[in-house]
Parts: sequence; C-alpha cells; structure tokens
Amino acid sequence: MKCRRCGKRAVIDIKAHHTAFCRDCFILYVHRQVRRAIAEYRMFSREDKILVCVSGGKDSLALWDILLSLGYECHGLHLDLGIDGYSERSRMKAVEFAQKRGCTLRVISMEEMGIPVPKLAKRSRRPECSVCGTVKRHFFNKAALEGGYKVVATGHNLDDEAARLLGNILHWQWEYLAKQRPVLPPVGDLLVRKVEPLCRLSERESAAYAILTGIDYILEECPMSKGATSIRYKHALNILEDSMPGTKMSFYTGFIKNLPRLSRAWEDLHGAIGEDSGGSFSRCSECGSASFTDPCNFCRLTIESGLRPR
Amino acid sequence: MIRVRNRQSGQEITLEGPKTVHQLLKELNLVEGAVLVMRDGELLTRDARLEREDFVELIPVISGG
Repeated sequence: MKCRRCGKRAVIDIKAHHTAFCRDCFILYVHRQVRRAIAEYRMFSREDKILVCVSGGKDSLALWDILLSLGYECHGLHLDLGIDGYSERSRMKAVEFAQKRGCTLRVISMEEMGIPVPKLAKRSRRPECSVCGTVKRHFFNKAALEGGYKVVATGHNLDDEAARLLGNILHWQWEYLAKQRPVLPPVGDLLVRKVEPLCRLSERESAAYAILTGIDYILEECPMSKGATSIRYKHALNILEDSMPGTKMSFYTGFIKNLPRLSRAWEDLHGAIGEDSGGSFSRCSECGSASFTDPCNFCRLTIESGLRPR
Repeated sequence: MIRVRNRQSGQEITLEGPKTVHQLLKELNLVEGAVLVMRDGELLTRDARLEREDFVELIPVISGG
C-alpha cells in the first residue's frame, strides 16, 4: 500500500478515511486532526496556558507531544495513583518523557497523601475505576487552579468517547449524556476549562503516532481495569467499525452535533455547565472545590473511607 | 513458519506462511482497530505480505478503565 499523499510505502492504513500514510505524512495528518478539533470546538487559543494530564500511557504522552509540536505552552501533570508497581512504572514513563523533551512536569503522589486509589476503593467499597475518576477530576482541577492554568487537557481519544457514549446510551444516563462533549467550559473561578483534543483520533492512530515518534509509553494495562465495561464497549464498536468503517466517528461527532437537540437534558443542566455561569455549583465546605453537592464527591469518598489527604 | 509475539503479554505463537497482515488478524480473530502489527521495527498495513521465517509483533492498542 502506498502513501496517499506522497506515494512512498505506507506504514498505516486508515479505513475510516479510505487512506494510508507513510510516517511523515501520518504525523502531518495527526497534527491536522488535532488542530481541527481545537478549532472546531474552540478548545483554547495560543495565549492559553495548558495543563496536560499525563498518565504515562500512549494517548496522554502523544497529546503532550502534539501540543508541544504545534507550539502551545503546556506543562504536564502526573498523578501517581499508588497502584502497586504499575504506578511506579507509569510515573517513570511520564518523568522520562518530560526529561527528554525538557518540559515541566508536576507529580502528585496519592501514596504520599495517604490516599492510594486501591486503599480508597477498598475502604469506601466503591469500584476502583470510579474512585480513580473522582480522584483524577479533583486533582486535575485543583492543580490547574493552583498553577494558574486556563485549560486542562486530557488524552481521551475517539474510542474512549464513542465507548463512553455507547455506555451512557445503553443505560440512558441522561445527565452524563448532557455533559459529554469535547469541551467543558469553565465555571467562574471554580472549574477550569476541560478539553479532549484527541477526540478525532482513534486509539489505533494514537498508538501509531506514539510508536512512530519514538514515545516510550507504558504498554501494560492498569491491573484495576481488568474486565472494565469500557473495554467491552470498545470491542463491540471495533467489530462494527471493521465492517462499517467510519462508524465510531459518525456515532460520536453526530452526537456532539445533535447534542443541543436533546433539549430537556440540555436546558436542565445548561445553567450548571454554561460558560462562566456558576450555575448550581457551590463550594465544598471541606476542600473548597466546585461541587453540586456538599461535601464534594472527592471529600465524601475520603470521609467514607476514613482516609483524609495529608 | 511465521513467529507472532504479543508485545503486551509476551505470548508467542507460530503460524503457517506466507499470508497478509489482514489474513493473520482474521486467523487470530482480531479486529484491525484493536491492534498494530510490526516487523523489524516497522508498522505494517493490512496488505503487507508476511513470509515464512518472519517475526512479527502484535501491539494491542485498547486500554480501559
């Protein structure tokens, strides 16, 4: 197969776009897809200081690399979740990437704060992935506010978002559906803008970018995510994609395009998530974070588990 | 025989050759969106022909949680 752009030997074929690229043209394609997502969803401008959340996996490290290549001012944040062995190895990948590229990386250790995720999950009797999500959302926003960042960027890709959408539809999670979008606007001085610049790239494309640009990422799966429903949704979508290329992209972008039509859920939540509105958010009386409830989800989790951050 | 190694699990199998990457994935019941295939440090497209004595690596790309 030849590169559709320059005619050299292709290293990756993309059925959804009926195309194939050599290494250099694929990198251009990836940059173009990310630039398009940033512009189409008005994620941020050249003036914004961006905090990139990096796990040590392919997506977040690829995102950091792409944003740096595109000339954005962005620093990294790594949360060491305290998952025995796996977290140390993930942390090393993030640290090594930052050292090689000479960029700023802040590391926050859950172990050092006395709230490692496995312990929090055990004590609170909640699923590990749910606890992990709560912890990440809390510290991503907190670190961004502390560091004066306007934007938090995560490495969620098209497969992540299409799988999340499928799960939300299968269980008719209206509230989650109304909030699912590639940009969550800021809320006053409580929440910073959250963006997903890889939302137009599949997981395979993201992995190929990491490999072709020499990014050393953690290949092993998080031991806590074994049997996660999101993996099953991704598998189901990949089977559809195999016989109907472009399904994931049209499923996700079609949803985003038609989101305003889901008017009732939209209007119910509009005040809460509208630009700079403040809406029905208030401050958590325990930690001061933005929350619909008091205490916030994170503080409720740590109170329930009897493990308060040091 | 084509040697096929899963880079994530380290598991290795051998298969009859020659065949294309597309045929290899079908035989292993894998969908193209879930995996990348490498030979000698190069990524391969689905029409690439794998010869007997080739050593290829499968790189799973799906992560969850």
